[in-house]
Amino acid sequence: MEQLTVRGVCKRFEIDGRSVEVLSPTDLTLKAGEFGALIGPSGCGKSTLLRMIADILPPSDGTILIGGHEPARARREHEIGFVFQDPTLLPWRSVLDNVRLPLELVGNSARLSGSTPQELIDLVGLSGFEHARPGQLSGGMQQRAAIARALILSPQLLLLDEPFGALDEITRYRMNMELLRIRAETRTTSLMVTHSIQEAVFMADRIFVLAARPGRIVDVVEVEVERPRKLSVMNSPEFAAAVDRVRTSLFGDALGMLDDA
Amino acid sequence: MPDVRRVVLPASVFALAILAFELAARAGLTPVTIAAPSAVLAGMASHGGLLWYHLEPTLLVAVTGFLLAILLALALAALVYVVKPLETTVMTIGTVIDSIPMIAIAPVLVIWMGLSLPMRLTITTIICLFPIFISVLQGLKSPPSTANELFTNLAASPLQRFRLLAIPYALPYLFVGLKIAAPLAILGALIAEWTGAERGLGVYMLNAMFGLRVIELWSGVFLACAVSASAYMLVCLFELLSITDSGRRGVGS
Amino acid sequence: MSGTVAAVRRRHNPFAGAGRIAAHRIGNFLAFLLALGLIWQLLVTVFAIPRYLLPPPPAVLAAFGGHGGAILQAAGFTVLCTSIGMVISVVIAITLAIAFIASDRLSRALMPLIILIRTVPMIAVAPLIILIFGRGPANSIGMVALLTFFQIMLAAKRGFLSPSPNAMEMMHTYGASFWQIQLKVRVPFAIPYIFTGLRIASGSAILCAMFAEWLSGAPGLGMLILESYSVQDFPLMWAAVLTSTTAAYLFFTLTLAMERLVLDWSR
Ligand SMILES: Nc1ncnc2c1ncn2[C@@H]1O[C@H](COP(=O)(O)OP(=O)(O)OP(=O)(O)O)[C@@H](O)[C@H]1O
Ligand SMILES: [Mg+2]
Repeated sequence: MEQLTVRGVCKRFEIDGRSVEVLSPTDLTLKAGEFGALIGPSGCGKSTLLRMIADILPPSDGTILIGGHEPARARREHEIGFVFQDPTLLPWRSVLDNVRLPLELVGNSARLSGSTPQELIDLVGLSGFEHARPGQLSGGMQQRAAIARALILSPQLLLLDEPFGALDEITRYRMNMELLRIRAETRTTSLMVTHSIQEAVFMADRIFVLAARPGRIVDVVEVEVERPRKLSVMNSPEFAAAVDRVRTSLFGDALGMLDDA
Repeated sequence: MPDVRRVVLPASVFALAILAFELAARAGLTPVTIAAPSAVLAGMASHGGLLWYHLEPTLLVAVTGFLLAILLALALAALVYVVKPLETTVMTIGTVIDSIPMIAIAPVLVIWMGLSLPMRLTITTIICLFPIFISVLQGLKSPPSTANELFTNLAASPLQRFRLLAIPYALPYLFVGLKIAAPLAILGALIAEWTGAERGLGVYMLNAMFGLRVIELWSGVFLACAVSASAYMLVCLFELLSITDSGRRGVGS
Repeated sequence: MSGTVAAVRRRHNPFAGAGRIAAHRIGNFLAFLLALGLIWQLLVTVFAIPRYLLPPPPAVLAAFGGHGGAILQAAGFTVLCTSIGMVISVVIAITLAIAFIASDRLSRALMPLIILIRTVPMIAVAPLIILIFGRGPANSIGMVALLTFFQIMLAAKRGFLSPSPNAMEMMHTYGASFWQIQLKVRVPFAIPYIFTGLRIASGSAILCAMFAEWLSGAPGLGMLILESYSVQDFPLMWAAVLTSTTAAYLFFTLTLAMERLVLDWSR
């Protein structure tokens, strides 16, 4: 069963009165429970694609289906969780109140089936910080709160735009493993934008490699590394093979030139 | 501890300056137009009733005009936030009115309304309105784009977006505007009285000036300064009480 | 490399940029006046506004014709007082800003007081200034200096503090002396800030001088407005108001052009 279908989706922006194609017609699918990663050079349209899937931006052309429905309907029914590059917590609210914000917006009657805010705070490892303000937390802790907030309405689809881009490498690995653990429990279909090849291979079942000008998918890499994944899988031949394939798709000939030199 | 030191140094400089003034005035080193601080204080103490008689209407006009300006500015800012195309029009009209010298507006208002309380309130409100309006509007527009996208993603209603996102973000900006406007409210009341009134701190000051009553003039000016500084500090106090996390206080200043 | 760039720039007339700004802004203002006159006439005609509330533009133009000399004289007085007041204010403000930069203790002792005093609207002090300086030009000059001083001083202080430690350390590693660093880093960094302060202050400076005249009776635009109002010559009053707005605008333009001139010269 296809959870996310993107067919022929493209985006043009008006820049200085000229229409610029930022994203060429793009196809992409994820099955229920799959983890996809988008990787590509800066400005190739990854965030734009994610925002179109989330119904924050309208596509110029093409169709997007989430669980068989239009994004607008999925968004109204709160089937899309979104984690932004910066945590985007409301600074005057405590962690608990930030995680609870979506419930407040929906109204109390809805979503009784989901986890409680406290359960999610425990899940992302913020127990004991429920009443802290965002300003009192580290960047990594803030991003965990943002993930808990994105999960509170038990969405069918979780979209993450470089969620760990601002973190140092040590924290980032730790957050990667946390996210894998959370996903193993919730089984939410996920699509994550990243700039790190290692991160993409470590997290994803399928990696969509994009090129720029215009933005387009140039390769789809299936990652055959078994789950559950620990840091040690990074030494496996499957891991190395996937990393190598993504790197080649990203850099093409340039890498050969570097090797020759 | 460092907090105490930050206050002690300027306070002692201030005290020293006052003392120097006092000694110079006693020694007859200053011109007759400079009053000795002790004489001003003594004058204020002995004329307490008269000063209050004149201060009361000024305070009434300043406070009422200030509150009116806040209400109007909030309503106007909310309107412009909701009906975006209005922004350029309102800003243009506001800038033009704000740049016409008050001494040109005042006579016209006097012709319209006479030397009345509504005229004085109008002058005060006009002076306070624009700074508050501009800061509140800027604040309503200050939520970062990702926060707006978050509310879109959560399918928030326009009212929820306004109540839960725009208003809390605008709160610190409101105080920026209020800090500018609070002393201006006192000034507005004074200017209104200078266009013609029987009672008021402004009247007291002008009469003292024309009558060359040095000590009376100094006490009037001192009172005006003290009142506007207190108004400013009162706003700071309200800010301290209503914005509990210090990171959001005093934006843009 | 940078030498050639500087040489190429030098060949240009340093007044060209400033002149262009001034011409552009004055053109805009004339267009604005024209539009204002049309809307004004329209309002007066459509709503049949009585002359004492708002006289029609032709009447105001006639007042310009009839009292041209008086208006010019009054404007000259106001502009002169404002200019002198601003010059005094700038000199004191920059001197004090430098003193504050040089001595941390001085800054800690005086800055809180200055911030407190700044909350007082300076015009409220006007009667006192009139008492001290008398009713002549000195009073207007004093008011302008007092009103603009704080803005310019704070802007200058912020400007002198604006170069990052990195920029200063970079100069230090190239072996620049203390004074070279001050002259080559601090001053250029501070100039845009000082002009920002000047710009903000210049807009209100003329209005402040007029206010002083309004209260003191010194022979400037403020006094002209008051006098024409008291003899019910409303066209003359509006002519004086228009003149004051024009003067404020030109003053603002002058600071913009000067800023451009200084920047073109120093680069
Ligand atoms: N609102 C907009 N108006 C015009 N152009 C836009 C807009 N948003 C994005 N773009 C353009 O679209 C292109 C893709 O932007 P996008 O943010 O999707 O890139 P990205 O792949 O996420 O890059 P990065 O990795 O740096 O985040 C960029 O060239 C950008 O200039
Ligand atoms: Mg992006």
